[in-house]
This record gives sequence, structure tokens and C-alpha cells, in this order.
Amino acid sequence: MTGVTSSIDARWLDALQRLASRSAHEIRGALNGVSVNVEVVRSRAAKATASAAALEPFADAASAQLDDVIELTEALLGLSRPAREPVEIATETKRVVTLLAAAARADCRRLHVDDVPALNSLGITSAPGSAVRVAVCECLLAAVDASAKIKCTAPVGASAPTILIAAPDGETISLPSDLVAVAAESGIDIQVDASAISISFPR
Amino acid sequence: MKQANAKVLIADDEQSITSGLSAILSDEGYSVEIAPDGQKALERLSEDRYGVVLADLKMPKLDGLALLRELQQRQIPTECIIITGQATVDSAVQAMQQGAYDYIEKPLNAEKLNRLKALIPKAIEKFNVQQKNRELTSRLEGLTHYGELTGQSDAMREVYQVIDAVAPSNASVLILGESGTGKELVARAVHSKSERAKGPFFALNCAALPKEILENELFGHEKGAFTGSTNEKPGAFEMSSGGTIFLDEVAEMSPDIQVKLLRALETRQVRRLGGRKEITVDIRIVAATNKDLQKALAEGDLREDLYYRLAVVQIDLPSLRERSQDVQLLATEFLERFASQNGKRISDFDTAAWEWILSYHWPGNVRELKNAVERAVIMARGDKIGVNDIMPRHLRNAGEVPSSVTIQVGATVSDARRQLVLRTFASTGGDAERTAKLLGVAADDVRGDLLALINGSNGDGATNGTTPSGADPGGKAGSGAAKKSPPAKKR
Repeated sequence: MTGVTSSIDARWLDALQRLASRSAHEIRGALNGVSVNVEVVRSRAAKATASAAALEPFADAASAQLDDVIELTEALLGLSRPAREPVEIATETKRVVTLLAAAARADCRRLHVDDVPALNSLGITSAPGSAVRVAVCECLLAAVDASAKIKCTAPVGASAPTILIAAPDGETISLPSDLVAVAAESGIDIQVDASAISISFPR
Repeated sequence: MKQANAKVLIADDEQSITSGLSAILSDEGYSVEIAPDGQKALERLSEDRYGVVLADLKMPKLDGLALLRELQQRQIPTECIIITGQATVDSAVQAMQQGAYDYIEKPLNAEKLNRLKALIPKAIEKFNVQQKNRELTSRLEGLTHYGELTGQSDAMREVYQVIDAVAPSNASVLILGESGTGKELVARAVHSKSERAKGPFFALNCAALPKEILENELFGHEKGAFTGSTNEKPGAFEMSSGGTIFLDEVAEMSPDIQVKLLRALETRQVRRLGGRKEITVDIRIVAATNKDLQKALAEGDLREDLYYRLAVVQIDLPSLRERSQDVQLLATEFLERFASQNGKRISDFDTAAWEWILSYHWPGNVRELKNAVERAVIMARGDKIGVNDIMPRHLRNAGEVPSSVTIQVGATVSDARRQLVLRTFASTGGDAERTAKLLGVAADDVRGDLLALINGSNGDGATNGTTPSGADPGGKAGSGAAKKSPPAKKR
């Protein structure tokens, strides 16, 4: 392991910890919901007079909450494993967005991918997995902390695969001071323009 | 043990949990409501009664701990069960220390939900018991208190009934009573129980102010109305519009101000001194006097037309000697109040002090009793107030000798003897030896009579059925000495 990769790996572990801590409340909340709704179904089903109408809404709610748990857990587990290289930009970005968007919703904030097909079409990058994750995760964390509304998109026609993170309400997003330099060491170009950040990955 | 239809409030922002929890508790027979944050929960709890509130520790606007604090500060009755994530167990323990009934940790699995189902009926039972206690306390308080007035005698109950009846109307009220009987407190009660309670209450003592100043206070003045009046000033009528004016010692008001007052009452309009403009006012007048009204009317001190305007409803406030049943209650209340204010640990009056308090005729009424107790509390050195602490120096030295003892026809000889002993004892400043000498009996007999009086018996086991003349010179008998005796715990 080179000095650069060990440093970026350590940074990714730190970012992953922050992601896990932010999404833990959402995962636990959804699990609680499943537990409570299953208990409603169980106790009502035990009664001879129970009707399907009395059970259905709670079974549906438990099912939806279970889907949420699965989605969040899958994203977290996916990010906890080493990235498969070459790295798929969309896969890594969507995992981070899934975890951060759930936590943001709890704070009445909104993070969403504006153009999913464009993001999916970004393809792969030669940059190391940890570097890609650090760049996406820290930029999105900074954006969500700065603004109540964050849009993530992939501009069509860019010379390199690029993600654009924007705060439509014009709030200023400020990145960690060394992030641009750390990312540049892995060939990732981060440009900050007040309320927007662009991340360009090497092909 | 389940309390069907008891109200439960769930205060939690996580809809994923609240709807299921609500269904589970509804199935258990509770009436369940949901508040999505602590602030909304507080609003609901302020408006309605909930036996139990299930509060999440982490909520927007007002978290579980802050909600608990607010409930306690505002004295909102409910039992609070805190729901918490594992990471916040310390806070839940803190909540318990602050008065929460219990806490449940998330995740709310079947085991925890069963625990919750078992906890809620117990919490509701505690709430119901405390609710009954609160109602009982309030009912007991209602038996002895009415607003700021204290008294449970029939005479005071009649006063309370009149206040209840007259307060909602706009009728003028005239309060008659000796100095120190609490006329202003009655006026305040009339105000606070009326729809004008949110408006101002303005009290003016007509005897305490020179004529010109009283006129100025009542009606105000325009700028330049008289030498030195550099600014305009609204009077009491304007300032208390929408509220109540209390005019104490109204019979002391000069005749020309009485004319102006009468006009203001009739037209509901006032004119400031030096002013030309009529100002419409919305005012209720409560007046009071300690003068002999018939004499005041006959001698022209009080205009008859003003009297009839003021005395739409008349409240006769009894003197303390006419409600001697209240003396003990008042003395005890003043003792507690002044001991607390002065940081003194005084638990009671001693037997001799009680004897004197109950036998003295309190010409200065409640005010005199209050001042005497305050002075006694300050002077007392032990944990009980003695007769020398409570009795004013001038009575101790000279003795206030009552001129007569009134005995009802039909009273027994032992009753008459007891009244004579009691009044003489009071007149000697609580000196049993001197009492005995004056009455020509043995000091032990005097002590025996006094003791029997305090114990509510006539010495041969019968209940004492008369009122000591010193406590009821007006002869309004019927309130037995048993009612006047200090309670057993006091001795």
C-alpha cells in the first residue's frame, strides 16, 4: 500500500463512519416501524374477528419499512466493502446519496439525483475506489450541511465523467480545505463555485 | 386493571412508529392521539387531560426532557413515559429523576411493547389517584378559601354566595364592614370573578386623599388645567375602563365630588379637570365604607341618590368577632405564612396563646389578627408562640377589660361561668391567677374551665354549645366552642 492510498483509505474510513452515524437513526427508525407494525398485525391476527382491512395497512407499512431498511443496509454494506475496480461512478454515488438522503429527510432537508439516466451513463473511472468515494461523500456531506436542498446531476457533453452538485437556493458550499488537493493526487478534479461543486473523474 | 377510554398522547416525530403504536394502544381500549413534536404535544396537554404521554426523547422543537420540564413548570397533570434509543439511556434516567413515570428503550419489539402495555395501566392508575387527590385538595381549599379571602363561617359563606351572584353582572356593589375586615379583598374577588377580570382593577382610598387630589385621581386633568399641570393626565375612570374601580371609604368623599361621581355613574361619561370633551368609559364601581350609613345619610355626609346608585347590591362583611369560627383558621394561616416569610420554624401557638387568641374580641378585625401574628412570629424565640408574643404590650400591661358579658337566655350555668372566666382571663392578659382573684375562685378552677373550653367539653363530658361572649359579643350564637377550639394536634 503506497503512502497516498493508505492516506485516502484512512480518510474514507472516517467519511464512512460519518455516513453510518448519520444513517443509523434512519435504519433504527425503520426497524422500529417494522417491529411495531408486525406486532399490530400479529396481535390483530390472533383475534378471531380480525378482518383483512384491519391488518392490511400495517402489513403494507411494515413491508415498506422493510424495503427502506434493506435499501439503507445494502448501501451501507456496499460502501463498507472495498470498491470493485474499475470503479462504477454511478453505483458509488447512488449509495452515498441513499444514505445521506434518508438522514437529510429527517432534518427536513432534501438530497436527490436530478438525472438518474445521465448519472448511470457516466461509466467507469480509473481513479482508486477510496478516492472516488472520499470525493463524492465529502462533497455531498458539505453540500447537505450547507443547504436544505441539494441536486446531484451529471452534465451531458462534459469532456470527462462529471458529477455536478448544486444548491438551488444559492447557499454557499464550503469544502474541507485539503479535499481538492487530496482528490487531485488521484486524478480527480474538484471545482467549487460558491453554490455548486463539480467532480470530474479520470477515464 | 386496564383503564378503557383513558387518554394517551404519543409525542413522536417518527410516523413509522406512531401509527402502529397508536393502533396497538387503541386495540387495548385507550383513546390515543398523536403529536408530531414536543411543542404540539405541550399544546395538546395544556388543552386537554391525558392520563399518559409517551414522549420520544428526540423530537423537533421541544425534546422529551424539555417537554417534561414544561409539564412540571406549568403543573400539567399527566404521567410521562419516555421512549428512547439505546444511545440516550442516560437522558432517560435523567428524565426519571425529573419525574417521568418510566422509560422504554427502542427498538420497540414484541417484548418491549408488552412491557409498555403493562406500564400504561399502572401509570394511568397513578394519574387517577393523583387526580382524585388534586380534586380533594381543591375541594378542601374551596371550603376554607374564596379568592384571597379566608373563612369557612356561615357569615363568610353568605358573602361568597353574594359575590358569586353579583360578580358576572355590571351592577355597582357597596361593601359595608368595619375597618380591617377585608373590604378590598371582597372588591378584588368581585373583579376577578367578573368578565372584567382581564381589565384593570383600580383602588382608591377616598379618605386618604385631599379633595383636589382625589378629584384629579378620579377624573384626570388636561394640560394647563391648574398651576403646575404641564401634562395631561387620564384619571382612574379612563385608566380602568373595561375594569373595576374600588372606592374605599366612599362616605368620606366631599359632596361636590359625590355629585361628579353620581353623574359619571349615570352617564358613563367623565370630563377631565379643565377639559371640555366628554370621555365615555366602561366601568364598574365597587365602593366600600366603614361608616354608619344611616347616620351618614341623615347627616348628609353621603348623598342619598349616590347611595342608591352605589348600593345596587350591598355586601355586609362581618367583623371577625361575628365569625369567630374563622379566627383559628386565620391565625394558623398567618402563622404559616409569616413563619415561612421570616424563615422561622414555628409550628404552633401554645395553649395560653390559643386561649387568648380565641377569647380576644379583635376590634381591628382580620388586619389586627394578621399584624399580631406577624409581630408574634418575629418576636417568638421558641418553636411555639406564647401568649406574651401574641398579646400587644398595651393589653399586657393594662388589660382590656370588657364592659359586659352577654349570655343568651337559656344558656346553662356552666356555659355562663365559662364565658365569664374566658372574658375575664382575656381581660387580664392571660393571667390565670389574677382571673381567679377577680372572680373569687381558685386558680385551678380557672385553669380547669379554660381547659374544658379548649377541649370542647363542659367538664362533665357534655359538648359545649355556646359561644364565648368575648368572641361573639353580638350574641350570634350557634357556633359551638368545639369549632373554636384549636385542633388536638395543636396542643
